[in-house]
Amino acid sequence: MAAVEARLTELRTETWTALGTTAVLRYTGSDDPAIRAAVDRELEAIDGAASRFRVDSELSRLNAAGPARVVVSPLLLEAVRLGIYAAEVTGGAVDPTLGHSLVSAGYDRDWRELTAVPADAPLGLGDRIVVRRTRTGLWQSIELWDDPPGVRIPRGVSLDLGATAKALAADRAARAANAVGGSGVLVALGGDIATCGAAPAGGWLIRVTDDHRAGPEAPGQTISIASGGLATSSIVTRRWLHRGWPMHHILDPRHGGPVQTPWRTVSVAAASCADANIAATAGIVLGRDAPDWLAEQALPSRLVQLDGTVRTQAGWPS
Amino acid sequence: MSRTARTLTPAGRDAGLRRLRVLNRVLVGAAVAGTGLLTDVAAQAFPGHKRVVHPPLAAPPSSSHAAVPPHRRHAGGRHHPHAAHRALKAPAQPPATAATSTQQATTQAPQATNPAPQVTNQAPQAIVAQPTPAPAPTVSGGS
Repeated sequence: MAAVEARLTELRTETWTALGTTAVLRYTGSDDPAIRAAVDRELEAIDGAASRFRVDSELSRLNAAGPARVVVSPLLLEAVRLGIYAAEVTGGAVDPTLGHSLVSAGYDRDWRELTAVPADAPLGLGDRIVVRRTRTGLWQSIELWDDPPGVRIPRGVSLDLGATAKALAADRAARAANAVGGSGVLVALGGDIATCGAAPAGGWLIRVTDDHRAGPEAPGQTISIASGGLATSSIVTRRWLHRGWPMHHILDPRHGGPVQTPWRTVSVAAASCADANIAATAGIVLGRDAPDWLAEQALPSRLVQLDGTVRTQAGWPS
Repeated sequence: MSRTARTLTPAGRDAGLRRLRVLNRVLVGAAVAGTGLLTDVAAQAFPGHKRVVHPPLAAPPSSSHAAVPPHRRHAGGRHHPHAAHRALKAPAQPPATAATSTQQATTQAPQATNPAPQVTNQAPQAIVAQPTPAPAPTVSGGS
């Protein structure tokens, strides 16, 4: 019995690059290449369906089609539906229709190909000067069909599902990996974490910090989760220079430019990685309203102010 | 005098009224058709203002997504976070303070000290008694 327990707490870890970010797979039990293969299949599928940077992706074709009904795969339909759901539950704070704003902010390729700027570079007001403004609430006009799966986006709208598609991929990959052999699985994509199945003894250890590329010794907090998902959004990562102005990737739907917020990092635990991702992004965008909104959702949260002051709530350990 | 008498004859008056009646019908028909045509043109020119209802997920990625609220409008593009439906689902258990690596390793120790029913079989105990180093935590940060 003791030997069995010892074997169950063994953890396999694999790390590689996928979807333009770092992918981490952890699972309990013995080595099984089929688990990694299941994860790879999910990530390749979501990349082909929802990547904004691949001209051959379904999303690129949908954005190019204009206000016409386009038949899509069930996976892209699921991703678009999740984007609309994110907008609905956050009152539009997480908006899937900001593709044009991101492009006009210079985010028209993998961010690693952009001119990086230090995390502490001030945003100033230039972010709003050079960024294309969009009408708000256009996500309400996206039309969906189930059979056959179809999407029609309003005229002048370009979808960007980056905020939620990555989390969706993590959730799907964790479920697919768990289905292979029943192992407890953790999948992390750029710091967005999904779990499925039984956690190892002591839970899944997570180091919450500003940048997912940082090591486990980076300033932050180590916690453990037994199930569900955990996501972190931050404005100190993924920054670039565009027309002389520092930019970051979390946009304010009200003006289309990088959001001005009192939080540099927001982490949220939820029942799924998708829900955690939506709440963490909304926490950044909602600014001073974020603590009340997150508490209303009863989501354990950790908010870090620009000066480093940490605030935890709704069950997040202090 | 003769000209006035000619225009006031009953036959001329009836003919004039018939022409007016026909003209009125044409004008009314044209107005109705024109209104419909303009409405259709306006609807095509400014799509996106109609209310659209998105059905729930056919295959929800998680249980929380089954409760997709009906499509809603938000006035004026302003954020109304407190009016949003509470649909995001909290985890079954909140995060816990993580045990340190040393603590995790020592939690294995009591298993090693448990007396085995069969004293002659020591091999499994030896495996458990080795304090395996706890793996480094997975990092969650901005991406």
